[in-house]
Amino acid sequence: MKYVLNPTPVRTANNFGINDITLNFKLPKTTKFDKMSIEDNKDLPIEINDDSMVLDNRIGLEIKSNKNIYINIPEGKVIKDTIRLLFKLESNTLIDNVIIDVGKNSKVKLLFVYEGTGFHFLKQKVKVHEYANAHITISNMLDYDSNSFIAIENELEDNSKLKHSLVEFGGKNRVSNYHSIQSGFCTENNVDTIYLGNKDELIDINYLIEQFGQKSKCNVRVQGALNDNAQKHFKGFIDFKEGCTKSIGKENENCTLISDKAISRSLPVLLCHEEDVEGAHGVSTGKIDEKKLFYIMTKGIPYEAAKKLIVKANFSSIIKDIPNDNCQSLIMKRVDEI
Amino acid sequence: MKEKTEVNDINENIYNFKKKNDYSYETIGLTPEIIKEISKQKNEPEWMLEIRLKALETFDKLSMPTWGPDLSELDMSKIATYVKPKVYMKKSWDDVPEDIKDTFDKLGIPEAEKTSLAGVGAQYDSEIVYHSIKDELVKQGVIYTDFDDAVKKYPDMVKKYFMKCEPMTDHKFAALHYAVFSGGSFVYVPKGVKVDIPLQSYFRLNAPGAGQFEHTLIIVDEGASLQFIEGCSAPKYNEINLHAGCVELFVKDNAFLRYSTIENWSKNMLNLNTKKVIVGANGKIEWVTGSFGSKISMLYPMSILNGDGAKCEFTGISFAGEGQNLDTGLKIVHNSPNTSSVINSKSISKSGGICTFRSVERIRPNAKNSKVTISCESLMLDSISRSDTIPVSEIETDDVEFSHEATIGKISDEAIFYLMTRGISEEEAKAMIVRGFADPISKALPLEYAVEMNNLINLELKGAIG
Repeated sequence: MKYVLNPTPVRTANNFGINDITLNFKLPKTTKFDKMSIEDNKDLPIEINDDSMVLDNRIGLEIKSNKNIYINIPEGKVIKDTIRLLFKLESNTLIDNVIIDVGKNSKVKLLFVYEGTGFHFLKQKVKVHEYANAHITISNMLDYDSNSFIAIENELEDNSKLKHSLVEFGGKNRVSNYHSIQSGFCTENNVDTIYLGNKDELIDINYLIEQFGQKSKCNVRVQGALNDNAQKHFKGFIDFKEGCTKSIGKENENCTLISDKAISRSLPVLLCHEEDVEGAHGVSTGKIDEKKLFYIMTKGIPYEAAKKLIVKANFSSIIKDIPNDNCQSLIMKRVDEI
Repeated sequence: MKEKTEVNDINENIYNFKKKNDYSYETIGLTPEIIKEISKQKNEPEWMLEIRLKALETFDKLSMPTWGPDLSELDMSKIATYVKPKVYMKKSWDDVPEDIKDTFDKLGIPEAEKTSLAGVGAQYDSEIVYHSIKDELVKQGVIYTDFDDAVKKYPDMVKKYFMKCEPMTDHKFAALHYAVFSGGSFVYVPKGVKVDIPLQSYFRLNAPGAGQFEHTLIIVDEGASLQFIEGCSAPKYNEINLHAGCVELFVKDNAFLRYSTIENWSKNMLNLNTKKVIVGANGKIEWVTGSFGSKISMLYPMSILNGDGAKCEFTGISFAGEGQNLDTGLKIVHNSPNTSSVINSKSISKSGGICTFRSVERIRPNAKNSKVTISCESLMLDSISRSDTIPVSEIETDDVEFSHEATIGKISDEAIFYLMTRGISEEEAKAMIVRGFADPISKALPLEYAVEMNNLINLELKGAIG
């Protein structure tokens, strides 16, 4: 069946080919999903059930969950270790509805890892209360024969900080939607994304950060590499609302094209309804820098290895912030497979 | 918190003077009968009428844009699609009726013609009323005439190029244009001829509730060069006026064209203009654009870089004040190896005005070793205005250097402080900074037009900042 998904919040000409993504796939039947584990949860009250719930989402897919996860970080709780949630798909379907409530003055790091093959839809809703600090990593390491959909919605209260590290590596069709509302005063929302496209994979990334509160800050950093016939759409919107004085919003995308058949489409948008703000965006796209390649090859490293080394180097500033060594190693291993 | 001094905009300016709406023929609305009547009035060949009727069919089939500014107040049944002034084209200003000549005198066109132009075309409502070109250029084979004249005198050349750059199916207002187009200029610069002094066409819309649909067709042949200036203005009325002109440009191999526009339509105008160029090998197009007027503008000049080494440079500024929604930008297609484009766009929004930069850059698979640099800067002078940047890029080859950067912000407090320590008042310091912001565009214009643009900025700024 044909689906028109992931609409941009502001439309531009249809013949620019970026307003939506059209995908052909069959929506699978959902059954119970068991292959899930939680590590280092430190006795937090994580509630899990298998109820079927309708998931409102900005991707535009009508879908019901088969796994609901409620994570409540109590007020004042500071958790040093990273809580890891691991999901292994085995040619089945996971539609997880994750609701995270980060209590006032608390601090937490969460890591979600998705592996295997299947149909995956994640709806994640995050509320970060006053003075709380959350770092959430979502690592999509699914195999090629998968469909991956990630819809994230955040709300940030006064003086809160939220960082998402997003690894978009798996699935033939990969659609993600990120929507943040920085309603509070002096909030900070950072998004670090790396994507890697191989074969005929299609990646559609659609981010919207709305700054309402004064002195809001956001920074979207996206690093990607496209190989073979892969296609990517990056649509990043920073929306400075009236009254968000002294706010700063930045977004930057860097796409490395490893193949001359890959296609990169970008739409980095700044929407501004407030005078006293600083907004900036940048996009750079191109092949691997030949000077860098030459330099590395003069050290005796073969061409293919040198290429991978440069892609890894581009990713490294984002990967190093992922709070798990094993996860970092897996990401690097995937780059080695290109 | 510091309070701003709010002073109302000045609505009257040097462009806002009205003349009696005195015409010899006028049509209102858009029907096949009206199209046939326009064609009859213009004594056109049958093939041109067929194009017009086909365009009307296309207009009816195509839908309105689903994006950009709201165009719901446009009612084509109320637009005067053809307003023929009581004069045929003249080659001397002395022969132009006094009230029309007075209009162009006030706009400074005859004076500019004497001092800094190699040729002038002046359109009043739907028809060209004056056209001239210096004898030296005629001797070199340069053709500069009004479009109707070109259809009659150079039919083969018109048929070869007309509608080959911009098809009527491109969008609804391109179709509208081809149904009712009238006036405009035709320029041909032969191989190797360099026209160093600019030609200028000026479009003045005087009739209330009217549309202007001029067609400009320029061919710069191999190795030739041309600078062309387009100016446009209208007095302000309470009803909606419409501008849906079309500019088709052909820059052949090794040729050069600089196309400059100072657009200052009145603030009841919907400016839905279409401009497109096809550039040959090692040819270069330079767009220089200043958009100050109109109620709504949707204008995205398109450059198709078809030849190896073709280049495009775009330098533009938009200035949106109260009640204005200027949705402007560009489209560039890199369709050959070694092509390059450099884009510098600036916008200033104030008093509730909306500036949107909207663009698309397409790098086709065969455009190896192409380079693209885009820079957008937006300045907000208050918090009731709006400034959006919506750039799309589509890159289909790895052998490309593509970079885009954009910034939005207000006037730097540090810069104002620095200037004030030099004894400059705060208001003048801010005005200086805005003028400095627009300076790269001023520099790209001939001196007279840079002065005109600076005057427009001063006029727009008066009372707006403080």
